[in-house]
Amino acid sequence: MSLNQKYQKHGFDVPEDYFNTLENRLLENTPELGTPHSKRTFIRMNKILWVAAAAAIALVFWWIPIDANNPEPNQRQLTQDTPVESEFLDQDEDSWTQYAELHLSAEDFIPILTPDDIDLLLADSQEWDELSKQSTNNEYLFEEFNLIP
Amino acid sequence: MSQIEEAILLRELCDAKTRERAFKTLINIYQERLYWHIRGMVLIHEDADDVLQNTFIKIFRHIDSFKGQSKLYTWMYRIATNEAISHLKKSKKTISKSLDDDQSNLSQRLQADPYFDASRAEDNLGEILSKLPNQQRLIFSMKYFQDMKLKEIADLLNLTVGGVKSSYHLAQKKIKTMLQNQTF
Repeated sequence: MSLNQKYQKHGFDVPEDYFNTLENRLLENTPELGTPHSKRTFIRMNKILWVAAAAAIALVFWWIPIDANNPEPNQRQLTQDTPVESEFLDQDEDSWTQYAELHLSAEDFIPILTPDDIDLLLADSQEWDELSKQSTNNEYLFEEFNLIP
Repeated sequence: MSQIEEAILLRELCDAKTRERAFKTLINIYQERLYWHIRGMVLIHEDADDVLQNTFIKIFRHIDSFKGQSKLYTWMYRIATNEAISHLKKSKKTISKSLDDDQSNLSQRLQADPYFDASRAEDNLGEILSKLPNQQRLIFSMKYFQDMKLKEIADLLNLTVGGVKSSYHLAQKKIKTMLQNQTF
């Protein structure tokens, strides 16, 4: 005797088609049964989206101060070395000269000098030598003859 | 279901791609046995239907935590039993607010159940069962309708075999007396 018959013998019954429809009713009443782990997938997707959003925001914050005045990243890179250098570059020509004197050596300029510039510098240099010699002579004269200019 | 079939079904249940199909198979294989197991405890069809649906939902949600230390059916049986006990406890709490005797209430509800026909029954066992205390009814149903061993019942209900035996004999004695006297 089956379990069903055993119970029916004592007056217990079930609706017709009860066992044929239970599966559908379960799936209808509980949508999660049809899509297992949907919640976990949703959380995982959310995590991915949050990470992507955070990365995008970080990128924007990194980019904005760099590119505020200059649309070309390569040129901009020259100005982003240190904040001190950027400050100098943003100031007028005098400041640039001061900065060059303080931080740059002659080698830094050689690649950007034209042959004419070099000739001019050498000529200046010769003139300076002459003046130096003259100055030395004058000093000698001052000492030797107590001459007061 | 053989051990191999059960292992295959379990593997499919744990795989998101095959889970829905495997779960349908699980429902088709076990729904009838689980339903009658629950019905024997709660007696009313509507309650049995609710408990069975909750049982399957819990099975689905917790299938990942099934460690395979027992048979799949035993594990599901335990969930169904716990769900039925929990349902009975809840009804007892609700009933105690309005009625002192939850057994008499169960009896009244059973009489009103459209899926219980006392006139078709060979005896009045159904009605007598509704008069028994919950634990005695659970144990008697498991032993009488489902031919479960006392040890299995004790394991499922977390009771000692002695306790189960004593409850079963008490239930049997009461049923005999009521059948003889027709006092219900």
